Amino acid sequence: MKNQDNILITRDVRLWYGQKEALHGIDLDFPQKGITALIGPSGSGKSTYLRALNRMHDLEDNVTVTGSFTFDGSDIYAPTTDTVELRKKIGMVFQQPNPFPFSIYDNVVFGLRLAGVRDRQTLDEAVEKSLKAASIWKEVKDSLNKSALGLSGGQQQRVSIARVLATSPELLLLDEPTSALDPVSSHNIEETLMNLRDQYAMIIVTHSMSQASRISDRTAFFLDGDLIEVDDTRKIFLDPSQKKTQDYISGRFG
Amino acid sequence: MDSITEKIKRQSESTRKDRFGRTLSWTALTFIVLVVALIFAFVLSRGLNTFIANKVSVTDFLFGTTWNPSVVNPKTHQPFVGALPMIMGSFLVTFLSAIVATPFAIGTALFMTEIAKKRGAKIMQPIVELLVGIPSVVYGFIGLTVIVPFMRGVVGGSGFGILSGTIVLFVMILPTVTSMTVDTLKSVPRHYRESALAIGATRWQMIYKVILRAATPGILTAVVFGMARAFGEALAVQMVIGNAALMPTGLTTPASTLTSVLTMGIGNTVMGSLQNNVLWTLAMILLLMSLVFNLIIRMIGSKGELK
Repeated sequence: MKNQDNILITRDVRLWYGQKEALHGIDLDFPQKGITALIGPSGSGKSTYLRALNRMHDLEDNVTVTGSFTFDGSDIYAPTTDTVELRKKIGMVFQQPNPFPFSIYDNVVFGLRLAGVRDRQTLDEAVEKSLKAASIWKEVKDSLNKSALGLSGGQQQRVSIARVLATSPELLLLDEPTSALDPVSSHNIEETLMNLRDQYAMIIVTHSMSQASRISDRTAFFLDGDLIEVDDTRKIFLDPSQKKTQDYISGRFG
Repeated sequence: MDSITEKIKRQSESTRKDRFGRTLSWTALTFIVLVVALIFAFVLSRGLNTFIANKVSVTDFLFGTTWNPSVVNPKTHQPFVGALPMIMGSFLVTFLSAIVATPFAIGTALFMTEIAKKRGAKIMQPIVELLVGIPSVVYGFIGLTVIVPFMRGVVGGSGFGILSGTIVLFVMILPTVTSMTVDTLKSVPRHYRESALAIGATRWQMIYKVILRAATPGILTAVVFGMARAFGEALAVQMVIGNAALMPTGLTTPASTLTSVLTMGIGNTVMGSLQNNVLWTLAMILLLMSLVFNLIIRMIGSKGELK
């Protein structure tokens, strides 16, 4: 793995909730494009790690993060880093589909409007482009002014993805994006992500090993706050080098 | 055989308990509904007497500008019972105090829920709850000894008036509106905040573009609730408004509200006389208005439910 190809390099990432260390020194790199899946049992620290990447832990008191995070050559946790700018570049999709209680249109352009874009044509184009990228344009193109809360869970999640894509992030963090959805909706989201894998670097936390094996290029296995193994997804699932990984993917624990 | 008999017996017992419980709660419910219905019936029957028994015309009552029930108007041969000055007075103090209180309430609530969560929960919450519980006569007394002289010094005149009433009511309804707004803001789902920030919103952008927008129905409900309280407040207002049943010509001249006229007059009239009946009519208006406030709150609630 050549370092200059990596969009994000993390070294010795440690995180404490109060006195309790939840991540014990994670070294993990992410390439410019493609999907990396973070798998592991509940409480293994994969979501915690993900949320450290766009500094979502800043919102909570008594969380301490150390280690180096180099994103596009700059330090994520540098005192000079503007979290607002950072989060525009590192978009995040949450477990619960969470469109705002506005119209679909207003949801998608939310980030752009925050950035001060007012031109109607630019916004219209961004809406169409983002909704198409999130594979939901056909379903909602005639109801853009209706409330996004009227959509189904899967549609809401794709609108949430479109909302993030509209701000043209360079890296997309997905925190169990399909775990609250039914299998058909999950399938649609997976298709959407597969279509985006050539354009974006994506990191997806998932509980579903079959999902990780279907959509990811690389897989990282977390256990009890440690990174056990990271490799090509094929390798992890067919021939893992660690016994713990082998046990986990064969369902012996977790 | 025995076990079956026993089983049937046991079931019948739980059914009986069930029925007992249901009867109990039904009785309580019926009682409450009955009390409310009787209050309505009583106030309506008394209040409508002005128009039925005393034959005062509804328009004269609602739009007449002179209130002097003990003096007969030579033109209509009816006493002067124009209630417009009090109706105006009530609405003016209600709306003015709500307009002044709303921004303060939102600001305080935002401070408590978004800006200084810990201090908000530790210091502000108990203070606000304490303020809700202070009896209105205390507010009125403070208004009488502090605000009225202050107004007298600043704008002259007696110091009594709608402005003094507004200030007292503003302080009175502020805690109510604030604590309801706090509840609303707290009920805005956490993921709205997270996803707003995750998309690159500053904290202020998150607050006014997402949280306040999502909480608008709840905040409106809080304001209407405060208005209902202001509209029905009697004692504190009566102590500072001046109690002159005149059409308000300015904010600093003595005026009166429906409630203040009611509390002043109710002891000085004879049951069944016109002077007494018109007071019941004022009470009827108060009752109907609180019904209207209630309906508004329900309408807002059903329209803008947060999901």
